[in-house]
Amino acid sequence: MNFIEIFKGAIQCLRGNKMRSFLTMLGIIIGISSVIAMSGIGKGGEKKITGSLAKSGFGVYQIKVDNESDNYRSVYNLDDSDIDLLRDSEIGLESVAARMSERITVKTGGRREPRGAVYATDTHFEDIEEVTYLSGRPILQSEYQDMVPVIVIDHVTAETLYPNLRSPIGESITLEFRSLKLTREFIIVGVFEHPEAGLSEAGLARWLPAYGRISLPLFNRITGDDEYNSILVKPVDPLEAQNVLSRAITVLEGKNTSEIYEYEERVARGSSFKEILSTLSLFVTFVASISLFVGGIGVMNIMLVSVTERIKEIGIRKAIGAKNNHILMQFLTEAIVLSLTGGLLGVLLGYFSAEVVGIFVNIEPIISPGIVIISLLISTAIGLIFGVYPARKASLMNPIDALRNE
Amino acid sequence: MIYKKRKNVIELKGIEKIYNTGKDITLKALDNINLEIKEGEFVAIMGPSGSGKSTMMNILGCLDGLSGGEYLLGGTNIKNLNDDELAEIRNKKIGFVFQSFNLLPKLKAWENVALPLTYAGVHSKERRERAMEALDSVGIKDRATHLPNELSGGQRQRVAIARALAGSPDIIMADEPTGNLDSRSEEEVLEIFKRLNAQGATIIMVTHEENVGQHCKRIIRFRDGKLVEDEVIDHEFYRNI
Repeated sequence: MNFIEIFKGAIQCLRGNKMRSFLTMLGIIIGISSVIAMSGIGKGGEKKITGSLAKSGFGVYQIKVDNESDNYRSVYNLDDSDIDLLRDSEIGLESVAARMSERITVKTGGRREPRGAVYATDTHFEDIEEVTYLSGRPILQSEYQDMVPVIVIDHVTAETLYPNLRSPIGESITLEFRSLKLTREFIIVGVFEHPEAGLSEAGLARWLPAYGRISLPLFNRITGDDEYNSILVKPVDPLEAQNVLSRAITVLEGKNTSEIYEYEERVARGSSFKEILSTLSLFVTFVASISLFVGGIGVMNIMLVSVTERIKEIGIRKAIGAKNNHILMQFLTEAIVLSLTGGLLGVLLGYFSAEVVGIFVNIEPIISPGIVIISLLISTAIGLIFGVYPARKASLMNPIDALRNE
Repeated sequence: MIYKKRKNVIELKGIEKIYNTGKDITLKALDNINLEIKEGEFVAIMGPSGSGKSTMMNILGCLDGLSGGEYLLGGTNIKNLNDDELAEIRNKKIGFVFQSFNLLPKLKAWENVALPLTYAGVHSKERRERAMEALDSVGIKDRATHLPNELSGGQRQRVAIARALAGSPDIIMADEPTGNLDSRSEEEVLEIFKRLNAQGATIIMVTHEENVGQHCKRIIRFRDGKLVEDEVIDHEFYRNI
């Protein structure tokens, strides 16, 4: 008796009980489809985010002072002399920009006050990062130099703060610099596309940090301090980046002798989406595992019912020569076909829900073959695990008792 | 003594079957049964209900174990065989025909007939051919693709007989095969058995109907778990044996 025939028999039997089979599969369908949908949206979203990040930060590195202590102001910071060293070094840097970041709260006077970061940069920033302005303009060179209190903000924050305005250009915004405990007012001159914008389209805008940029000289005047905490550099040849960066570190260390500099690629910083995603997928995985477990119990339950209903059949089969293993395989295959069919339907449902959800959150889902294969393997395993007990029970039946059953 | 040339298909020595019906209550369903059945015999097992004839049939068919004694089926001692070995014996050496036909309702007639061959590991093409042959030999080949519930009782029993024949067993065991049939179908089924027997098949048939038993060559009667009478009907057959 070969496998294909057992398989055919199992399908025939499940088709004879369509409604029941479907209801039994439901748990597995839901479990698998949520895994597929989540992974599809997640992968699609990730691609979109890394795509937009790559656009804004590809090939850009930031050099920082490795300050392990919380009170980093007391430790050495970067200043203009470091910038000059790098500019004059001729080690293959296309451009160099200073950047100071400061945590802020946007004072709206309302209930919700967005938090985030403001980057104080010099004029070279625009050479390094490609920034797309949706309205208004960048901070002008003269405004950098003259310390004019203007700001450019990301479009998500702009939409949050001014939901009724077509353009917030010219509006004033009050920021609290949290670690400095200072509050200042700025005029908005431009709105740029948030580098992690995909997230806001996914309905997750409130998770996004607010993001603004102001003039570094202005910021230095506010703090009374001429230091900054990172230097952004862009190597001429992206492929040589590692060498160029280690040479840059050597140049800086020549001035300072201690090994306190480190660098990282900018792209790696844009990971808030990934964090949200991993939290979310952990939750979905949890829900899916419960659903799959319950689905497995359902399979076991219906297989026990099926065995009880077919005691007579088992008796007949045994009377004409079926061995215990034949019966075991018959019921086990049925359980596997049941849960595997559930898995297949779950993959389909997951695919379509990912597409539908994708339309709403503006993400094109990516269903990888890997996750489909894993899903199908999991469904097979569920059938196997939860089918063993009923199938074994059937196979060990005494033929004469089974035959007498009506 | 009178059976000399023909080989024993079945040999029973002091068979006992005891059921535990309660805590300390036991029921002796079969008590010291000694019996030999040879190739080519057509034996009726008769007796009132509760006499032990069905228990006897189940033991002969290797569907039930025995409590004491020895059972040799084609020379093989059944006593020490495990589930799978018994299944193989039922598959290869025995063909069953039941009172209530016991066909699988979702399988077509020919698929029911082919089922024992499936378990015997016969290749699917050969299976179909042999199932068709068996259906042909009981005159119901034209109904091969019908489901059991599309057939009359007599036709179903003929399919069941074909199933019993398909594996070319050593012995056919029929448990009240005419019990659910009208008299015309009963005649047909008995004719088939007689023809098969004439072609050399060994048949054991349980029945409680005297007229059915009279079609056989030999009648064994049970009462209260004991074999009480062994009556020869076809004297001609046993004279030449």
